[in-house]
This record gives sequence, C-alpha cells and structure tokens, in this order.
Amino acid sequence: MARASLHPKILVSIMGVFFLIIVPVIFTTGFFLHLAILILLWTMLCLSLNIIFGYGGQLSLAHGGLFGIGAYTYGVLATKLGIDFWLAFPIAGAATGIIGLLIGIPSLRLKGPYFVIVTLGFNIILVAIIENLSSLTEGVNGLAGIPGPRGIPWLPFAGDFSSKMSQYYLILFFVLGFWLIMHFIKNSQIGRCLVAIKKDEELCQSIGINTMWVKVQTFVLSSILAGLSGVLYASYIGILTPHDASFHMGFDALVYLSVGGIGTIVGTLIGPAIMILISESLQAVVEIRLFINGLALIILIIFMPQGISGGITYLWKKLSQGGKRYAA
Amino acid sequence: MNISEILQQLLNVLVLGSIYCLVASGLTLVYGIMHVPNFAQGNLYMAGAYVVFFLGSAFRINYWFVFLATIIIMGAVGLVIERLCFRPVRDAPHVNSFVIALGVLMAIEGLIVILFGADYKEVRPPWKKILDFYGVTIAGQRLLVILGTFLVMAILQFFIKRTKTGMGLDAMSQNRELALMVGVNVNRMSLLAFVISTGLAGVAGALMAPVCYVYPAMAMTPLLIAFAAVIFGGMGNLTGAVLGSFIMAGTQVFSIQYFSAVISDIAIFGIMIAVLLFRPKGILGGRG
Repeated sequence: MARASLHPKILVSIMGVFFLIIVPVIFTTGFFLHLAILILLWTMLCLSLNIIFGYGGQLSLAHGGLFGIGAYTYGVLATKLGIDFWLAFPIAGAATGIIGLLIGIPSLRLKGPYFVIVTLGFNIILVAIIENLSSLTEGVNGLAGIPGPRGIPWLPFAGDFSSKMSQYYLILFFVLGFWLIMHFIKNSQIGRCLVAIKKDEELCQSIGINTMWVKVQTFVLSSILAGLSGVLYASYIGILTPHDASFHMGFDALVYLSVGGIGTIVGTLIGPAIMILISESLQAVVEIRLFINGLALIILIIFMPQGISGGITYLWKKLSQGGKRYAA
Repeated sequence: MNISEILQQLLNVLVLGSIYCLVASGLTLVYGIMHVPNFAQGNLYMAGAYVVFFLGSAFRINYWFVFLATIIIMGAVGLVIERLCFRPVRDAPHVNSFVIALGVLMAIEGLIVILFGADYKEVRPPWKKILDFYGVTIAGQRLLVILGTFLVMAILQFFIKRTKTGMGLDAMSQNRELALMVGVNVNRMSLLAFVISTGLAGVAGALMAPVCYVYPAMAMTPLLIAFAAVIFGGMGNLTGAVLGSFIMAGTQVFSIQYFSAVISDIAIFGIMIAVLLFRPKGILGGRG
C-alpha cells in the first residue's frame, strides 16, 4: 500500500524533470527561454531559503544579502582579477559559506522574532558594505561586464555556454543537482533533526541533540546554495547593482516559496514559475510586482499556508481517500 | 568641535530620537500584545508622510487639520490591516504572522509607488521660522517634531497608566494569561494596540514630512533603528523603547558626524546584537 501511494510522486517528478529538459525545445523564443532561466535561478534561491526556513523553521531575511555576496564575489573575481568561472564558482560558494557562518553563529542563538530582525539587519549591513567597497564593487553605479562561464572543450555537452539554450541547461544541471542534495538532506539525520527542531527545539535538546550545531550547519549550507545561485545569476545577467543584494531579493524568494509551498521541494519550482509568469503576463513593472507579491503572500499565508503544492497534495489525498471510501 | 556644535548635534538627536520613539512605541506596543514584530511599521510611517503630502497638495488645507486627519486615516488603516491580515493568523504558528507582516510591508510599499511614483515629494512646513538660541539654530518644524512627540507620548502614557482600557493593554503586555483570566478581551486589545501603533506611525510621518523629503525608501532606516531601540529597551517595554530610541539616535548622529554612515549602521546594529546576546530581555528587562 505504501509503495502504491509513493508512485504518483515519482511519476510526477520524472514527468517534471522531462518537461524541464524539453522546455528549450518547446519555447524556442529568446524571451521565453529568458523567463525559464530566471525561474530556475529563483528556484535555486528558494531552495536555499527552503532548507533553513522550510525544514528548520528559521525565517532568515539575510538571503538576499547572501545571494548578493555570491554574485558580487564572482563578479569581482571575474572582472577585476579575470578568474575563470569554474574556479570562481567554488571560491564564491566558500566565501558565502564563511559569511553565512559569521552571520549564523550569533543570530541562530536567537529565537523567534529576534532571529528574523537580526538577519534583516545583517542584510542591510551587507548591502552597506557592498555599496561602500566601491573600488571593488563599483558601488551604486553597478558592476558591469561580468563574463559568462567558458566552455569546457573536453567535456561532452559543455563545449560552449554562449547561447541561451546552453545557459539554460547549465543552470538546470545545477538545479537538478541541488534538488538531489535537498532530497538526501531531507531524509538524512540532519534533515530529521531540523524538522524536529522546527517542531520543538527544547525537546530536541533534552534528548541530546546539539540543536545549535545542526542549525549552524544548515545555515551555512543554505548560505552556500544562496551564494552559488548568486554566481549563476551574475554570470547570466552580466551586471550587478547593490539592489541585487538587497533584502527585497530575500523577500521575493520568501513570496515564491510561500506560493509554491514552504518545506516542499517541488514548491521551489512551482512558486517562482507561477509568480514570474503572472507578473510577466500582466506586463508588470517593478512596483506593481511588489504589490502583487505582498498581496499574494498575505492571501496565501491566511488561506493556504501550505502553498499551492500543499493544496494539490491535500486535494489529491482527499480525492483518493474519498475514492477508497466509495469503493469500500 | 566646540560647545555650540555639540549642542546643535544634540538637538538633531532630539529630533531624530522623537521620530524613532514614535515608531518604536508602536512596535513595542504591538509586540507586547500580539507578539508580532511588525515589519510594516516603517512603511506605515512612510504611508503617514504620504497621506500628509496628498492631503496637503490636494486640498490646500491647514497643516493642523491635515495632521489630525492623518492620524485618523492611519488609525483606520491599522484597523483594516489588523482585521484582514493579522486576525486570521492569530492562532496559527507564530512565524506565519511574521510573514504576514512582511507581506503588509511589500503591499504598502508597492501601493505607495503605484499611487505616487518613486520620486521625492516635498511638503511645505507650516512654520518656516528658524529659531536661534545663542548660536544654536533650529527650524520651527523640527521644534514642532520634538514638542509634538512629547505631547503624543504624554497622552499615550496617560492613556495606558490612567484609563481602564489602557490599563488592560498594560496588563496584557505584562502577563497575558492573567489578563485573560480577569477578562481582558484579546481581540479588542489587539485591535486597539494595532490602531494606536499605526496612529503613532501616522503622527511620526506627519511630523517628519515637512522636515525631510517624502519618498518610498524612507521607511527602512527608522524601522531598523526602531527595532534596535525596542530590543535595547526590551521588547514590549514602552519606557525602554523611548530610552532606546534616543540612545540609538545619539549613536547615529554622532557616528555619522565623526565617522561615516556605514559605521553608524554597524554601530547601531552592533549594539542590538550585543544586547541580544548578553541581555536578551533588554536593558530594562523585558516583559511578556
């Protein structure tokens, strides 16, 4: 019976991945491909927020800043020092991980609202630092001319990343990789500890779990993912401004995650896809998008706190249970 | 630096501290009753300033009518927000209400930009005179900020300590369960606390609008400093919030004067972190 109920999930995952792979074949226009790439980039940031907030229940508002740190580290390394993408990618990930560790150690000691406020404060500080290190980051003028990844000639399918389609597949490759990592983390000991901490932290401590250590590890991992998504963003877009590091990025990720379903893997794709397609179909300029995002967040948290994927799961369960009862 | 320069800076501290004090009082009041860190408080302050701008430029009426109208409008806004956004998640996990507050923040900012655009707006001060006390100058409107804040805070203090409803608020932020037992109405108190806090944000916006330009990004600095102030004094503690506001304003003004704006951000934030790590209930001891 348990196997039978597992089936649709696997089926849907395989179909979803297949769909993602054939997206560039269906939507050949550059604009749609651009949207698809943006959706994937947001998926990565949502994934990173999902680890710490969805599983661990720690609402971090520093993720916009961490995203920006990754993006700017790559941008500075690539434009000022001419370091290759494949070398800068791990360096930027590590740098964001270290920043995440420095932010995580003091702030994860705090609970509830204090953690949220302090991470928001850290985000402001990160932006202030980026704006003021203008010799490296070009400050508010923005860092332009960031190169994309170079092709690797000896690797099949990786010879050239200059076209949009190859960029799409590169980012999709990382998204799929991160999804796999997420899936393993979710079912690992740390993942279970995290979910337990979300439910009752004191109870976890009482049975000997070092909750602080679990949270710090998770926060660092989440920071690295945020940083890496920043790197991919910078290498795709090619220009960075301090706004790309602002807390608004983290807020948007939170909106997308809430729309998709907090604490679910599939939600990290559904949320950005729905919200970005909606705002694009409304031809929305930035400010209207902000309003729509805020409204969507409020409405979803009130009426459907599990997000759209949670809603679908609920409906599915209800339907299949209803069917069973009917059959019995 | 001579003595008149320091006095001048102290006056600036008083002006800024007054604004932070109004914003922080609202924050701490809502936190004490509803246990929600209202991230939208800075944007409500910004919205208050925009209401003043709108009423002033659309109807050309006296500043004092505009001032009163702003408080009433912002109170009404608070009523709507509490009812529609925060009431439905009262019994949900706490973090939901944090997320709602962020949603309100975004919605207000988006709405303001849609209605008024993102550029700077100017509100004419009602009292243009510049006063001079032995070399220390202060614009009339800045003096009004200080006096107005003092008056409003005095009224608030009287309301909380001397009236029955206000004492209910105070009781609830001190000991929620006990207050519930003696029959304080949660829903009514939450609504009241929220309306007062948006009203205070409206006062802050109305007082400050003629002093500085009105623009959407004006919300964030007061919000963070107000949070720092509230944490400094202990979340839920009104006296602590007032004290914290002036200390944070002092830190800000003097560190900008002698160092830079980044140092000021880091200093304020550093104080906040230090207080949280070493005295998590605030300097005056937290409540609730």
